[in-house]
Amino acid sequence: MTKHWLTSITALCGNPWVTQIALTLYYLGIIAGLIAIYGRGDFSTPPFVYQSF
Amino acid sequence: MKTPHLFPALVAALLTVGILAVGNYRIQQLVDREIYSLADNIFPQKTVGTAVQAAVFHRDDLLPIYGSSELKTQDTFSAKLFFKKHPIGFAVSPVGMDDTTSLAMLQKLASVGSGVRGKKVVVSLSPISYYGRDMVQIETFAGNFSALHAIDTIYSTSLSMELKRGIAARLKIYPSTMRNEMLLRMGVENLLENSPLSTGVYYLALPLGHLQSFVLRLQDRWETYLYVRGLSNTEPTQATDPPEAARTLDWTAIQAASRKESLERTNNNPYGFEKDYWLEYKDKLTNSETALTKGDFAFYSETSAEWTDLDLLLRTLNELGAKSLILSTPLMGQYYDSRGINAEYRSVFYDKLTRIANRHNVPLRCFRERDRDVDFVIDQWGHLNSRGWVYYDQALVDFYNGTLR
Repeated sequence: MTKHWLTSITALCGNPWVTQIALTLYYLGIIAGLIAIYGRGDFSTPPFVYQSF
Repeated sequence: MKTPHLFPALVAALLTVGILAVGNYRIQQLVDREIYSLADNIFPQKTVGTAVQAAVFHRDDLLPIYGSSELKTQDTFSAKLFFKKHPIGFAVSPVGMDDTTSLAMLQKLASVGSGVRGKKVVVSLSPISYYGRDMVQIETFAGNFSALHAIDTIYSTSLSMELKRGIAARLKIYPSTMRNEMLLRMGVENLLENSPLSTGVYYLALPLGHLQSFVLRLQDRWETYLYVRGLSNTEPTQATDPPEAARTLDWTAIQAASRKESLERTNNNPYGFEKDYWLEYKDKLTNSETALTKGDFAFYSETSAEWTDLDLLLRTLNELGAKSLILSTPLMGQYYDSRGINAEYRSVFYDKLTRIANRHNVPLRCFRERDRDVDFVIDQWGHLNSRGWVYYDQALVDFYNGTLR
């Protein structure tokens, strides 16, 4: 059974279309990760301080 | 295949650009749909971002007002609330936080950029900035700072190099706000150096400045989206409809009602200070050690950097092609008389303000004829009383209708 699966996966990996799609998803994952980490802007301002009386 | 990663990487990049473009477009649609509600409110992302401010300029029935803490009032005669009760064919969109000065305002407008061209915009000034201090302190300026606005200003293609140099010189006074903004610092320094080499480097960095602005704008839209989504989850939708058609207003009756309310609010002192404010600060306001002196007034009226910033703001408005109106409250004449800062001193402020507005051909209403009224403002910071708001409301209606030039 395991051998059968391994054979199927190896055959799939040999298919250029599958490789291209997997690589595309890989790069999309990287970009999504970068956006998730660095994409959120920081628009916060320091606490407001009124000038002295 | 020699480069098996090239095609997938390109496809992933294109898909990302497509998803971002669609998301950006959908958020813009959402902002446009909710614009009357967003225009109505003052919230941080509206003030430090550009998405909502730019969308306001797309609507002819919204009049943007750039100002400071006076715009945050809940006075029923304030333009925001008054025009809901008394439909006049347009609504106002206040933009500003505490102590937002001309230097911050001009960056907000420069960030909207060409969207301002041919549009009406009102600027509300707080006089004390021009006679009560040399310049806005770093802590206060930082509280109003927006990297997006600063980048858009310094790398603007709508403003002249000479104007950008003037703005850069003022921004350089507050270096800590630019500490984490390498491109901004670089732009400011290159503009100020003003040599052929630095100008060349500035133009080389210009696309990078625009790229950073693009990223910041995407982030701004996302934050705005989160705000709108949070708003619809927590509050019933408000003011989503366009303003009702104009009705004729009985200004005399409105003035009388506002005068009554104003005097009730200030009836424990002869100067027009709001009652609680007077109780809290009476000692400081009447003590020569803490109150503004004649010497301070005369010195700052001549030297305050706020005059330079106002000049830069009016130049920015003109170069952007805005149809602008400057509003300023009068001073608390009765109070300043008691401090020895008499009408002759105060006229220095009014005259200088008028000269600058005239020089830039921008209409000004500074209400100097109401200088000794005790029902226009409620403190020396320029926060308006109900009657003051009615004068502002009338000026806004006249300006919107094109009868105040």
